[in-house]
Parts: sequence; C-alpha cells; structure tokens
Amino acid sequence: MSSTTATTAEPANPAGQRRLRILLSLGMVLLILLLAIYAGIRQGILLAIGLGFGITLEGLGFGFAGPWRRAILERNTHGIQAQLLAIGLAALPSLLLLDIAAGELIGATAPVGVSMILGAFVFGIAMQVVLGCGSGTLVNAGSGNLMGLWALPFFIAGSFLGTLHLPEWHALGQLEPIALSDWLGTSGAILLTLGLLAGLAWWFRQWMPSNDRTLPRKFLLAAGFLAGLAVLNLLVAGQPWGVVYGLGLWGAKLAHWSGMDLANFAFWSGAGNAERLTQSLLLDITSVTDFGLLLGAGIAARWKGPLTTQVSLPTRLWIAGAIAALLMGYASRLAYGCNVGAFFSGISTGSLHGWVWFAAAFAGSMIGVRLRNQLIEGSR
Amino acid sequence: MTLKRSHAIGVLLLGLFGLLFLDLLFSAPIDPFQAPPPWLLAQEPKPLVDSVQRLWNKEIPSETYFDMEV
Repeated sequence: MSSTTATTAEPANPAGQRRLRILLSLGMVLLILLLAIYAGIRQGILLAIGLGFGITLEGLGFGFAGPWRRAILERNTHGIQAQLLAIGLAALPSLLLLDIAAGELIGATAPVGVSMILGAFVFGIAMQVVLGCGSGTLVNAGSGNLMGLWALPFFIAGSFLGTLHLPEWHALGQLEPIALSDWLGTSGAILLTLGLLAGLAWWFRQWMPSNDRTLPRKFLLAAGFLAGLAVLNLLVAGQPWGVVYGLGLWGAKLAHWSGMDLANFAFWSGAGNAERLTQSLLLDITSVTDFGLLLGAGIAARWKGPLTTQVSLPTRLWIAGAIAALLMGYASRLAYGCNVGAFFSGISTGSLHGWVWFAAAFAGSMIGVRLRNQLIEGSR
Repeated sequence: MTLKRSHAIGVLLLGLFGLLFLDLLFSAPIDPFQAPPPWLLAQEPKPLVDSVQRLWNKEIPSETYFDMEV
C-alpha cells in the first residue's frame, strides 16, 4: 500500500475546465440553498462559511502544519507570519464583538492544565507525521490527498475516543479558564494579544534572510479571508471556528448507531452533547463547517485544473500516519482544540490556553518533523 | 499503487454521503419551519448579533465554548 504527492497531470481542456467551474459554482450555491431550506438559513450560511474556509486554505495553499515544518527545517517563516497575521486580523473584531455581545457570543476560552499541555505537545508531534493539522487533514482529504483521506477516519476515531477519557485526564490538574479580557478588560486584551502577535511575527521574520522578508501576496490574501470568515463564523454561529468537535461527534454518532451506550460517559451525557447525539448532524455548527471545509477544498483543488495522480509512500509511513492521526484526534480533545479551535480561535478570542497550546504544539512539532524524516529515511 | 486524486475525492464523497444517509435514518428529523422556542422570543431584544441570530432560531449559548464545541 502506498500513495500521495502529485505527479502526472491529465491533459488540460480549457473549454471543459470552464464548464466544470460553472458547474462547481452552481453546485455550491445549490448545496447552500438546499441546506438553508432543509435545516435553516443559519446552517446554509455556515456551510457557505465552511466552503470559504476550504477554498481559501486549498486555493491559496495556506496551512498550519506545513509552515511550521518549513520554519523548523528551512527557517522559512512566511507561513507562520501569515498565520499570526490572520489571528491578529480576527482578534480585533472578535474581541470587540465578544465585548459588545457578551452573553450572546462566546470565545474559545479553556483552562490551561497538565492534559491540555500534554495534548498540544502530542498533537504537534502527530501533525508533522500526518503532515496535516486539524483543518489540514480535512483540506488534504477534501482535495484528494491519499494520506489525508487515510488519516481522516483515524482522526475521527481519535477525537471520539478522547471524549471518553476526559474526566480522568482533567483530574491530573488544571487551572480555571482564563480569558484575557476578564483579566485586563477588552482594550487590554486587544493590546496584549496584538502586541504579542506582532512581537512573535517580528521574531519569526528575523529567521528569514533580509532579502526575503516580504510576505507572498497569496498569504496576505489568505490571512485576510481566513480572518473575515472566522469573524463571520463567530457572528453567525455565536462561537468561534472549530473543527475537532464535529469529528468527535461523527465518531460518537457511529458508535451510538452501532449500539454503544454513551450515557455512561460524562462528555456525552452532558445536556448539549446528549442532544446533539440525537439530532441531525446538519444542525450541528461544527459538523456543517467541517462538511464545507472538506467540499470547499475539493472544489478548489478541481478548480485549479485537472487532478493529478499520486506516487508511492512507504508502508511504514501509512502505518505511522494512521497511528499519528488517531493520536492527533485524541490529543486535540485533551488540548481543548486543534490548530483551529485552540491556536487560531483561542488566541483570537483572548484565551490564555491558545498561547500555551501554541508553545506546546510547536515544541512537539520540532520532534515530529525529525520523526517523520526518520520514518522516511528508515524506509529507504 | 497509484490512484487518481479524483478517485480519492470520490471515496471521500461516498463516505460523507454514507454518514449523512445514516444520519437521516437514525437522527431526529429536522423541521425547518419550526417556530422559535418561547424562551428565545421572551428575551429582551439585544443589539447587533441577537437580532441577526433570532432570525435563524439560534440557541444562544449559555455554556462555555468547550462544554459545547471545539
């Protein structure tokens, strides 16, 4: 068994490609309308937002795991700087909105704790082995990358399994959730968040040679689009952009339909989660944006041109990918989110845990990139 | 083994449709025309977001984000 990375292109046909783009656009509009009619306008808009995330990430080549890898191995930090820019652009309106509409909107605020830090660290290692983070795995799977497709069910299984053991992990010790705006007020939280992001971006900029410090235009565009979509997500959903909960819910539903009694587990017996187990996935916020992300990535991949065939990966990387994806799902649950729910949304809505997540996951990634290289070299 | 990415996307779509089919079979049916719950209508009008969300029968969250969704 083997796969991944593009090689041979199918012959291009401009007229056919144009027709296909029209069909893809009409298909997207139709899907949004159908969901809006079936499950409500809000769900339709959330699907549109999810499609926007997928199209932006795949279409503009924006990600999280890859840029961290390039920063660690090549000292190329354009991607990380763009991530920090996106978070900063989202943070200003998000923190203001959370202040204006307190009680209506909620931030991605979570506690810092032993299992949270351990989870983020393991997530950082695993995402470099899979070469895809939370959103990245969906984007990779959606755009037809075989490793992404292979990793997705294991990621789903891991994020479900993580929910089953949460109380034991939390018992290791954790602080109360800390929102910077509770600590410093909204202005203080905005100043501190933007100041830290700017300082970090400046530090990463110094890693680059002085003649190569300008951010590529596509990254600037992607950062702007992502920030805009994230703020829209907050407004429409009432909560920040997330990924992992939806996947865990898919796993829980499959287990539930197979006869597993989830009422014995604290996470799934909670009021909101128990209700989501019985109601349709199309009413779940994160599931709908996840569907959009998957489909949007596929549409963007096909939009760019004919899809290419894929070449081989060693078998041990497939096995490692499956284990890493399972761990990634499990760890993201312990860490109160992945690169999206914890890093992007946590920091942009002023949660201290977002910063701790970043530090722990980046440290994990430093090990992960070397582990992946060893796995590849060991297969030769 | 080489496999076209378009075939991989096909496999993914099959998986998603399978999941949604099971969801349709086993989950409570959606009533898109359901009235907003009384507690939502009884709330004081709030500026900006609430007025938008009210249109879509949105459940205003009272729990923390991580009790709900990540």
